[in-house]
Amino acid sequence: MTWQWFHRLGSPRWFYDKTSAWMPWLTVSSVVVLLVGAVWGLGYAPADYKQGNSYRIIFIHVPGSVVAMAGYYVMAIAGAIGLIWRMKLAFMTMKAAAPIGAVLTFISLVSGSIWGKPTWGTWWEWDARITSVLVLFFLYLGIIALQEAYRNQDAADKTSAILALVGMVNIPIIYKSVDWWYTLHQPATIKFTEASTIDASMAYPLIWMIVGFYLTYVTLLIAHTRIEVMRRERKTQWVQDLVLAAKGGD
Amino acid sequence: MEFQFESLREFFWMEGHGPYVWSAYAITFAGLCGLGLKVKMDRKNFYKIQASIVKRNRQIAVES
Repeated sequence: MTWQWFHRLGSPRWFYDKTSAWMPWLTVSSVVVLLVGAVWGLGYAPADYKQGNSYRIIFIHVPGSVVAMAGYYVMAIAGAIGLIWRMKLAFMTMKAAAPIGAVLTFISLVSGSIWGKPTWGTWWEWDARITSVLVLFFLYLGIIALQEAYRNQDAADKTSAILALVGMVNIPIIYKSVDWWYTLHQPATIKFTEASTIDASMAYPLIWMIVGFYLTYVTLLIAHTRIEVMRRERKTQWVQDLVLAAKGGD
Repeated sequence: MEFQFESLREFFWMEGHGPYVWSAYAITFAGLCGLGLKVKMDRKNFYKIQASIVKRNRQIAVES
């Protein structure tokens, strides 16, 4: 009984039907949470005593980076589930997660680079944190390229899943890079095991934005997976009925 | 909690950091909106192509 939801996920149609009702709510709440967080961070959080207002980039840079890394785990775990249980929906989710993760990693790299100029005096530095995030970006691009490279979808899924699983080793490297090597990049500001090094007036909007980015990620992942479900199930009766109903019937 | 700037001009300028901050936010929201728009465009294209295929196949089935 407890695992019934997991078995139901084996049916792409069940996933599609179930998420249809969720999409408007998820979309609206993602937009609202992100907008409130952006206004809070840009206008109402106090300026940093050292960095001035340039630090306000933190409210997109940290959430983008956190979700880009978490998104990689989502993609790799989906790939593993696809390989182990041969669940079609898992491979569809893995494929959908790659472009979203790539965009989030790009946001992390670009916002960090823009923040670096007024703070460090340089747009780019080949230090451990930045380089390992760049590797993450290439891993996401690799999954996208593999999905396009094969004519056989099954082969594309299996190869992508293996690359995603191998690439997982990069995530703890990114996370610990600021501790293992001497880097320009500062260590984590929000800590779970000890006191955070960020004031509450800045931490609250930051946590709010992290929640907003997670919510947006879930919304986008479900939306992209739904498209992939339709593409792969296009020959089934239920998708054909859906298409004809949307186009004014037959 | 109060607004940290005395005017909108100061808010956009941010003591010289405005161009950095606003461009970073613009790129971020463009990226996220792009992902949302991609879904809309993919769905529209899928429906367009698939509808014509399904209609043609059903027509062939009726004729034969």
